[in-house]
Amino acid sequence: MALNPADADLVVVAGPLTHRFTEPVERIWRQVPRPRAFVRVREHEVGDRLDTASVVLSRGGEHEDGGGEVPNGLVMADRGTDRDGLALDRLHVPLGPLLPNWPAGLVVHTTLQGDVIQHAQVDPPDEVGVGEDFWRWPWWPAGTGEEITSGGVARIRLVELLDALGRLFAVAGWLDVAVRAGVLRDFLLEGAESAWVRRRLLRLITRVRRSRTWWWLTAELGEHRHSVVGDVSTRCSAWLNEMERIVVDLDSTESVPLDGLGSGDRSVPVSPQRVLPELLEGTEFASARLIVASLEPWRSPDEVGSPGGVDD
Amino acid sequence: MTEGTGWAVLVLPLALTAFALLALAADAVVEVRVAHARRSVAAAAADPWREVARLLVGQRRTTVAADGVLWRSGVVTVPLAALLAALVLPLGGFAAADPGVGIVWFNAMEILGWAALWTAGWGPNSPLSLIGGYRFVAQGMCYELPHMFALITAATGAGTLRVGGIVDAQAELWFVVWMPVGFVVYLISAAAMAFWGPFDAPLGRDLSGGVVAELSGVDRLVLLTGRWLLVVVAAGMAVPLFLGGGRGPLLPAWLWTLVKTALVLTFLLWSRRRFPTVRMERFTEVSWLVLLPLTILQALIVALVVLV
Repeated sequence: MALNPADADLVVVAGPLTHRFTEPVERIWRQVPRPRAFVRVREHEVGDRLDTASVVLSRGGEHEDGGGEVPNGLVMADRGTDRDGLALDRLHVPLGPLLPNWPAGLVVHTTLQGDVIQHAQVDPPDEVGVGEDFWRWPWWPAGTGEEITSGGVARIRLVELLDALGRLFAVAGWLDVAVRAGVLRDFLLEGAESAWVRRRLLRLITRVRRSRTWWWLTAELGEHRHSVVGDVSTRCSAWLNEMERIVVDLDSTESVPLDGLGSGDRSVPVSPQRVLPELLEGTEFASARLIVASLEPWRSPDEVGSPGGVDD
Repeated sequence: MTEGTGWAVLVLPLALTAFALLALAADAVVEVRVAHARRSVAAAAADPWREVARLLVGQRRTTVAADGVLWRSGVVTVPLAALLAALVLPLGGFAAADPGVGIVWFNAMEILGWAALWTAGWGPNSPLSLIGGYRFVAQGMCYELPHMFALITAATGAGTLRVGGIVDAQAELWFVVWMPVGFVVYLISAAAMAFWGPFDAPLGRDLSGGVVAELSGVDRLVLLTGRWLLVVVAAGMAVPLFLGGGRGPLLPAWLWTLVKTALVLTFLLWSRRRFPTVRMERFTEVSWLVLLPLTILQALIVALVVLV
């Protein structure tokens, strides 16, 4: 997958294109160099659509004239004092809603001096959370009277955690581990055999735990006394612990009572907007990306430290 | 050491590019295995060629209010700096040039790379690209001093700044044996100067590509090729500096040089997968408080040995 429009040939919109994304997607499309192709896919037609797109590309691509230059959202720089009291250029740069390895839909308006974030402001989330439907899928059968097993619940939680970890590792430039986490996530979604998953997952967990570089790089990052637990490294460590704990449940066919799903009520995606500005202000860009990636976008900050979170 | 201009103009760029392509293909094969992709090794090994073709036909794009001159000249200077640095690189008994200030030349060309990446980051008038440029300057501040002491240590041991002379001085004992600190620091700075491996923050994923975020088509190809050339040249320079140049049993000197370069390159490829990106905000402390004193100490010891 391309990291930026400049490196892309193909723009794929998977799923519904909500109001919030229409303009950003258009802007990205205008920035993609030719030859290029634009594809919209709904469920179950991914393969066909991508095949068509590759044929279009091989014939020189779809020459849609976007017309004119791209306003890249860059406001002229002004001046302001930085943390050392020096008058430096200030750039107003919005992050999101579409950025690789970034929670889809999250928009943070930042004021940058150099690569230091001086000010951050988070847009209120859409009324319908992005990705909300997807993450509720172990509970889909709830209405149909089908049984929900704790193995199924463990599977979706592992997918969710691997997705979050993959994003964190990718942002940290630890691509090898990020790719491995992504592979495991995809195999879990495809319903891979649990013994195989367990073996791979434990190997991944061990590798991350043993990396001194990783803990050195993420310690004391994104700490906040009231709203979130620990720093980036403790939050990562909590995810690893949780994965290790629930991976044994993968085979379980024990049915989960519906009223036990209280903690699974993700219908209201609680935005990180309350904590993020405080966590991000004064950090460097790379640290800010790590901090965002260390928080689960659709869980409330109070939940981060709850039983699903830190494990001592 | 034999010098030759024909060597410089024809063989050197071709040899370096061939070496880089081989390394790229090897890396693509490893990537397929990591990603569990259902593809054959041969298909993966052809990836670099496919990518070159894709970039050659791709449209060159520009951005609003870009500084075209700075941007494009920065992009072109990256491979140029790598090739100029490679002029003093010996292959067996041959080198394009073996000036009396070979080490200084190598160092100067590598610094040219700083300017190149900085202007390439500044040019497109894009915040992510600009931050990538900033990052490389900060990185330079961190790795350069220990790096220079590592170079100076090898020069001190040989009593000359001429690369050929440094190779000759290792007739009995390779410098890696009695200058291990210098060698390790050189390996770290080799990755850092090529914004490679754990030192790839200027092109970071968190910046959506950083300096290359706005580059497409042939511009992108030129900069990324330059980066691979820099890695190969940085790996190649470790051989005359610390690994005895073309010395070794049985095989001819040029082949030994290639084998040793390939080993160093393999290490650099491995370390990129092994470690997350090191942020300068953390690395500065290690660099200035640990590596710098260690390299100075190493230089001091070598100086004393040479004097006595």
